[in-house]
Amino acid sequence: MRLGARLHSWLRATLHRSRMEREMENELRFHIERFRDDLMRGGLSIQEATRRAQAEFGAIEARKEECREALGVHLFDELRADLRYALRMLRKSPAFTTVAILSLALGIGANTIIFSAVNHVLLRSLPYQQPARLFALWSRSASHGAEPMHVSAADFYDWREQSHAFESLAAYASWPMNLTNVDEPRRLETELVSASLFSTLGVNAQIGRTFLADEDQEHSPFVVIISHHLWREMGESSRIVGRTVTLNGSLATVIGVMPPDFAFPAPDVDAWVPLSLSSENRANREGRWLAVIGRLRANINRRDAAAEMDVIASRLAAAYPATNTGWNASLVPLQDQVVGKTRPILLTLQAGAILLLLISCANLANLLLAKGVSRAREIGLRAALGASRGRILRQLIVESSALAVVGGGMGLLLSLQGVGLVRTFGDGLIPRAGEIRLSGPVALFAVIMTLITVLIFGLVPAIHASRVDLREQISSGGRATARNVERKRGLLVAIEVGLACVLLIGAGLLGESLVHLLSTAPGLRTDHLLTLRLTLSRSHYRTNAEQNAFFDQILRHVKDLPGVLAAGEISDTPLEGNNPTFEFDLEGAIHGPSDAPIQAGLRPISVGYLQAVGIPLLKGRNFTLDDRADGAPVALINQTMARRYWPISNPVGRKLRLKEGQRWISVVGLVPDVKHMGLRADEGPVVYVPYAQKTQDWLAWTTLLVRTAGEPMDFVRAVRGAIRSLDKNQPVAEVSTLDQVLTRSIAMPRFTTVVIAAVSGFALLIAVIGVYGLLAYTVAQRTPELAVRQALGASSIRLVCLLLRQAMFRVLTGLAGGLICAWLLAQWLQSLLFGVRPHDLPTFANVAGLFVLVSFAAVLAPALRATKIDPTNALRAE
Amino acid sequence: MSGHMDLLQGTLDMLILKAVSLGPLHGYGVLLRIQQISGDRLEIQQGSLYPALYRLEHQGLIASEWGESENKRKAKYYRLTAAGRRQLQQERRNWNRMADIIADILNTAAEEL
Repeated sequence: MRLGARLHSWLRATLHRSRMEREMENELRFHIERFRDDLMRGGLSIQEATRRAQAEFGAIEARKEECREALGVHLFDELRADLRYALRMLRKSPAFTTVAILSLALGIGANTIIFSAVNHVLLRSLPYQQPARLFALWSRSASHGAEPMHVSAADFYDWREQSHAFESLAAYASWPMNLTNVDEPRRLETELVSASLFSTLGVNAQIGRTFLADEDQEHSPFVVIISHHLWREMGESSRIVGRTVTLNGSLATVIGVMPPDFAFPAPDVDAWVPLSLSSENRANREGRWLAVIGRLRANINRRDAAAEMDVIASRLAAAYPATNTGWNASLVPLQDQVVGKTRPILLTLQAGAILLLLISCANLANLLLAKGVSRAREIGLRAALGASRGRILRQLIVESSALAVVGGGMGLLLSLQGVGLVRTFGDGLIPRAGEIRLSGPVALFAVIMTLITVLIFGLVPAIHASRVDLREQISSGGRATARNVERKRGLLVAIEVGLACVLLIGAGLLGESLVHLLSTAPGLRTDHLLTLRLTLSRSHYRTNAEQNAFFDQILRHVKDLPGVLAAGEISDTPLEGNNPTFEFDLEGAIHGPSDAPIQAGLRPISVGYLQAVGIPLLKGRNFTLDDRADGAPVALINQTMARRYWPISNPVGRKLRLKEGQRWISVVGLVPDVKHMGLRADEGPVVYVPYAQKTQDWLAWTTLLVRTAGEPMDFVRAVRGAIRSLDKNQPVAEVSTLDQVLTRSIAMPRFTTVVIAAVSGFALLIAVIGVYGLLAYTVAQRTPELAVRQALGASSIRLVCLLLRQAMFRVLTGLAGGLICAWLLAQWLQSLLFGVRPHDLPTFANVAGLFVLVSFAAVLAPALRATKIDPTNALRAE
Repeated sequence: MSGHMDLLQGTLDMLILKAVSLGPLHGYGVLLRIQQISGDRLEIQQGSLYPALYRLEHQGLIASEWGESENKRKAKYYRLTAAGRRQLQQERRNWNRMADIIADILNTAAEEL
């Protein structure tokens, strides 16, 4: 209540300032006049009475000031004066102001931008009910390098039946389907999901409902749930529920529409369809193709759940030794699963941004310290004229606050732009990138950072500058303070150099990795290649024969198009492909210590595929049209396979067989390895078979690659037309050029490297400005001393050497510290590096050399300036 | 020790509250009333009166409004608020207790210890 009264009175006084002033004037005047009248009644003349009245009252302006102080409005006045003065001082030294504001804006801007992404991706929980209890479950076996692998259908159903730790388990697998009987047939990104998926995630449909518990049985009616974006595409009808759509040639009833923010497991998913497996497929333990998630019961922790899964896994291994020996289950929190790959990248970028901010702050403190000294005389004078220490301190803090507010504001503007860029360029790289916004918490982060910057880096130099010894200040011209400050500034510059060095080494290592990545040969010619993805509707193309005949027809039609030089088909798009592996028996091969069957990738390809994409044949022969379904089974193998299993003998002529297929297949040729899954990874052993001899009827998809005479994208219409003329219901998807695929596959490392390189560039610039500024300032401060040395006969060379030695000492100290820190921190980058070790000596040496060179250039100019001092003038100025 | 006495530090606020508790007064009136009640024994710095009035009003202990003075001129009149009344009672109690304690100490003779 008392506080309320004060606030009310303060607001009234502040907001109605002129009225308050007028009333105060009237009130005091009234007092003096009444007093005068009383004095006159006592017999004094009007002049004498007026004089006495005024004298007794005292200086009216001082009284007014005391009254204002009582109301608390004086603070506001002084602050305004301080601010006006601060802005005038900042305008008077534009170089100082520009450097300070820019470095702050960059530091704060970079942090806010990256923190927006970190906040969005890493800190915000997934949009499901109690997401902390959701886990991804993977199969794992030491014989497969203990990598998390998909789960077989039979294992999934056994897990679900036997597990008590999980409230519910759900399985899903990406299974694109064709939407036909519409104007423009298209491929839908469909997920096959167990009916329990939505209840496990705890998400409801926006319109209609999700799956009922028994809707994923083998002969349940075909139903589908569509995504919000597909619903909008289909006309946003509120009566969508109950309508039928044609998926892969079968009629499916729409039962629900999901809310717009539901994007499981990926944002581009169009529809969810029940995983209605036949009893035969349900019992399959060899095909590991399902992703599994589970919701932990409320009172169970992760360790207990993992222990229970171990028990279940060993029970299954005992019951089904052929398929489950050595197989276990691993649990990963769903949040980690979603952000797993992005986390180290984002944390690296955030660390870089924080380093940049630290450098900016050190730079600001450095500038403020220098400024404090050059203003020592001014401050000394103000103190001598009676300004209190608090008053001077406040003035200096207002100045740095003005810097911080302008710098922070610019940083915020910068980040508004930057977040837009992250949305655009991060699309597909950062999970849920499109939703990244500069949100409230992020803005708060920026504000807090600005405040911390001001408080620490404005206050310390301010306290320093305000602690002036008046007598010394005026008599020595501020030289004692200058010496002291120079030491502190030297330390700050060393810190700037050290931090910038850490950043530059990080950028160097990432850059080196990118160069390695870019110079990695993909193993095929990526230019002038158009790629399209075709998924066949199983209802139309049931058997291998039907599928392969269609693939063959497409190829022949496309090859006949004018401008098409060659064409081929493969089961997965090179450079961004999956690598499904199968178990093989080999004849006469070195199997290694165990008798375990060997794992190799299996890729059906068309006749002419190798020529079309430019993969050379190393040995043997290519597939021909004579390698028909009824002919002798043939295969090509890659070099890794040959080297690993037939290291000595010629692999051509050897035999292998798929464990499930049982037919012996002859190796007829040898091809080099290809970067099938992207430039970073080796593809391991691979077996190619001709499409005509494909034995997996579920493998009903292909990537068509067309080598064109001109720009590949110009051929899209013609190729689409050729396919439509064969089957008007066959959609094509993922239309792109192989060059674009290649660019996409390195987009993330490129993005990371460019950002870190930009951040390091700024850091280097700021650090160099710091180094330059320090020596320039030293020379200016020490002009008299240098003049004396010169007058006493020191040569110019000696002077320059003296200054260079002092300046470079600081640079080298900082550099040494930076190198040590970088050496200790480099390990963190490991997961982002490619083809370069974290402790890459050339990178460290190059960065150190660059620093020495740049710093030397920066200090040379001020050092040379010292030799141009005219001793007579300099000493006279004293 | 007759004649004027200077005001004890920190007591002006209390005296102002007392003065306006007897009825609304303008600033000059407050001065006159304190001098009158004290029988002209207290000397108050005229200049220090107004900052004190402003401070008390700022704290919500007194309130002001413009009115007409005895000689038909506009003047700002102060009156005690409810919070001010409580504050005055509190200060009076404190003052009396303090005065008793001080008096006891000053009147103590050596044999009483």
